[in-house]
Amino acid sequence: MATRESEASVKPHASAGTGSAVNASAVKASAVKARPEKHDSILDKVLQLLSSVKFGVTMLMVLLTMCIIGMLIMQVEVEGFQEYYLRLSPAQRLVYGGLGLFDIYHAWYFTFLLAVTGLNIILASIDRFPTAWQYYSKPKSSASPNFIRAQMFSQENESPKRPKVLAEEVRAAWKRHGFRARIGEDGDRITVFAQKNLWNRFGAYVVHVALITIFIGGFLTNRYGVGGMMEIRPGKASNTFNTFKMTLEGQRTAPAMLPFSIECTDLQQQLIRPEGNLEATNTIDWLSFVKIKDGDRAEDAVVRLNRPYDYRGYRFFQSQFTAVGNAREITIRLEPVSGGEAREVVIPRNGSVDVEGIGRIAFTGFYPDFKFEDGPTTATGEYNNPAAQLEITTPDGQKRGMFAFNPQLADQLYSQASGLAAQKGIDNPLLIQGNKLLLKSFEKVALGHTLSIQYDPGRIPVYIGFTLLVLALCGVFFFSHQRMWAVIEPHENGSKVFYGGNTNRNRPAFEGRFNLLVRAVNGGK
Amino acid sequence: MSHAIKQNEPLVPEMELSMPAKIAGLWPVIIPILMTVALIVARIELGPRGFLYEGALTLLALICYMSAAVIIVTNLFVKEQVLSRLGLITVSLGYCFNLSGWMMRWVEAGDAEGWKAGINGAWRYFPLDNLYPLTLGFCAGAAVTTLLIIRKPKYEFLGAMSMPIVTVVLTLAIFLGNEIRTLPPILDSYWRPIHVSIATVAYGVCLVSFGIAFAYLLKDGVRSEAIAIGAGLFGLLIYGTVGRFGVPFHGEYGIGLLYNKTQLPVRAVLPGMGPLMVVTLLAIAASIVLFAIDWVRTDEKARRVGWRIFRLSALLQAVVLALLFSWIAFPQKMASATNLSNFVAQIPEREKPAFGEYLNKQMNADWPADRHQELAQKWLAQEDPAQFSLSMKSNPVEFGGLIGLFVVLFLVSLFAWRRE
Ligand code: HEM
Repeated sequence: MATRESEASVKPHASAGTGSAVNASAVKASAVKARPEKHDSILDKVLQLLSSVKFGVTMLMVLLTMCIIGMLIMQVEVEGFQEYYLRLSPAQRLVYGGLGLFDIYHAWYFTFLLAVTGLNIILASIDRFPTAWQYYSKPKSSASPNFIRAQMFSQENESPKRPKVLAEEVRAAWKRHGFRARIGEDGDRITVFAQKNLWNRFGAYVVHVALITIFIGGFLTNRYGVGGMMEIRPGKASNTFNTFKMTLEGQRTAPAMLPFSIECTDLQQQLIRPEGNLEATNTIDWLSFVKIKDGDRAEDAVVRLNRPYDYRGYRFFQSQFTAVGNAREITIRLEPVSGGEAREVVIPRNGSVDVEGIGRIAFTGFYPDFKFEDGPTTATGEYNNPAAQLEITTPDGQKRGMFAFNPQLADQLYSQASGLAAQKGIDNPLLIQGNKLLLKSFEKVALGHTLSIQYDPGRIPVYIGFTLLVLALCGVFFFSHQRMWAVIEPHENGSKVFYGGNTNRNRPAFEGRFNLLVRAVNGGK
Repeated sequence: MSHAIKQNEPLVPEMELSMPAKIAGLWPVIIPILMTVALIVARIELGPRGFLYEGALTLLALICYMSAAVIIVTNLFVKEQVLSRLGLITVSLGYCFNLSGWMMRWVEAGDAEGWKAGINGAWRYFPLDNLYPLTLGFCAGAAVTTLLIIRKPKYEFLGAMSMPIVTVVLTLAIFLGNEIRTLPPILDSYWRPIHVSIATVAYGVCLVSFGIAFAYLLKDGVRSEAIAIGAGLFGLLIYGTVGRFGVPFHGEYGIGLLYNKTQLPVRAVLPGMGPLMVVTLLAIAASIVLFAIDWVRTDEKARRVGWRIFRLSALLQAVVLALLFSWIAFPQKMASATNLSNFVAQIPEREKPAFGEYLNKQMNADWPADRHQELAQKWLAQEDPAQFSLSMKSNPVEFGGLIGLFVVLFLVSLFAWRRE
């Protein structure tokens, strides 16, 4: 259909069908292809193939078949693949593996077919675009009675009014119904032409652009996307993370680099019941406070469970937590054994405070289930027997490692230690300047959080593509390009009018409108 | 394009009405919404007392919907103005209770946890946290759509379709149980209210579209028998597949077992269900055959008997549902009525190898495949039988299918009868 809609070859309006209710169903055969057939070179033939809709349908079917194969044969990154793989016969493994069917969406031929389909959509659209453009550039603003009779809907009337008067009346009546008409004169004959939603002819191209955008996004994700995990703990910084790739042999881990570094400054786990444990069912949110160091820039960021953080195309998500109990901050009670007022200090994780008469107390480690076994350690990750490790720098500059125990453990240990110290005739080593150190309370937090990191250059194109696709499909199918003609010829003392109507879809709805517009001229409502 | 559709004016031809008139016409929707607001405010001010509980309100809603279904269906036959009015009021009242129950759950969930400030504030407690509140929302949506439609006497029959469905769906929800559980942290997201409510609305739209499509089939003069054959084939599909093909092949039907609140991939056969389902299946099959005979050689007698059997199958299906829900709701009573000592004994031998395989994996044991059955037997024998219970939640799709089948059989019987 490369020719212009002409008097000789009236464009058939295929989609709406040719129901029996058509007034004039003189739908003529399609316009002749205006393409040279004889001296086609190979290039021409390839181009013709690539711009044919038949070829497009075939490609879509092939792609669909591949997707079906991808569903029937379990894909390598699906959970449970290893067991599935072991159950297959050696022949199946050989053939499927050889053809890349276990990872079909990443196979070269899948990408290739997508590319060819994309090219096909582009070429087919380019091929048809001039025809669609003509609806805009050369609107059919003068017509003949024959042309009108060949339209989807047509009707003939006689009127005692002069053609010019009638034409103005038609224009006014149609305007009241939202059809802006223009009047064209061709000798004695006057054509009143009006149309609505011309843009609808171009909806298909927007749909295709959206599809190509999605394809491109998918390609970018596939090709350049990176995803992985990074464990963070307060005080640590890193610019590497682990990526995981599933292969037939199992999971392969490889390190990947960030173009900047991430330093964890603080972790927080908001619990529903503070007295409960760290499990997910007792958690409202996990917060990771990080500092992103990028050259000489630094940016503070917070990653929360349902609020990832974006930086230079990288997205950081809260993914897991290391379920070993730790403390975000501790409250230490200093109790003089000789009586006197006790003091309390709050120290954040990896932080320190100065305490008068004692020196600087730093909070350096935490044991949720304290146990001494060739050194301090934790028996489990649960908060069964918490103890905090401290480092005290006395005013004279001496450093001393100490523990602040929970009150139960403290009672037990202090009495043991003071007994031993008394035997040996030394000071109780668990006391600092005659003070007991008690772990009064603490805010629970996990030892570390694991962030998942995604770099996905295809994300934005895919979002745009799908939004455009949905909008364009709504635009295409909920609207239609509707055209109305009234061809007026002088007839005896008055005129003869030929009304014609045409729409590119939703013919039943247009039928009503056509009748309405005709009636509007004849004085009806 | 069917003529039936063309002859109809648009569903709500209200464009000519003035704004105040339009709003006045909306009283069946506006009043219940205002009442809901009042009830919620009362709950917030007065605390949980009287009937200001989600559970109580939902039950009231169910009673209203049930009454409305009876009234509107009756009115298909008697056509009384009073009944139309009463039907509308009952649906409206049901909608009020339903909506306020649903929203009450929001308050209750927040109170239960102490209104912790999550990432989205009070939305953390938005009542679309599992299938139960989702079903409440769905029923409320279906009820409000029904209200909008049945204001026109001409479309009252759509209420005769939607109200029975809403009644059944709400009953199902009540069986699911209205326990409020801590929201999994990942669901405390702005996306949940958006995504789930759109999905729920879509289900409601599907329900109403189903009703309208069905109505147009009738209006277009599609033979009732053809519709009945379609419904019957749906029945064959359901009974052919439920309970892992147990009905046609073993004459048994079982539902999933819970062990201490954990769902097990194994079923316990419920005494009585299997044979009853086989009879229902045969009745459906017989009616299909009779309708087919009538279709091929216009046999009036086959047609009449076919309809009788078809209606019988709808009745049988109701009994199937009643029995099934009795088992789930009152397992102890039902067990003692059938002399059943425990549910473990009801696990068919044929299911044990697969269950053994599951146990083997769960326990990280490495029993060989040929001893999985033995493993299952051993495990089941050593556990305390009192720990096992039946669950409504184990096979929701299947229950949905069985309920859907009842609704289809019932509606087809009803409208075919009405047509004659
Ligand atoms: C290889 C693939 C494809 C080819 C070669 C192709 C080609 C075409 C052509 C030639 C037209 C007619 C344009 C006109 O007359 O102005 C068209 C229309 C259209 N295409 Fe495609 N297309 C392809 C894939 C798709 C896909 C996958 C979609 C949907 C997601 C799509 C959606 C549409 C729509 C909505 C229209 C407008 C239909 C109408 O106006 O009634 N196309 N396509």
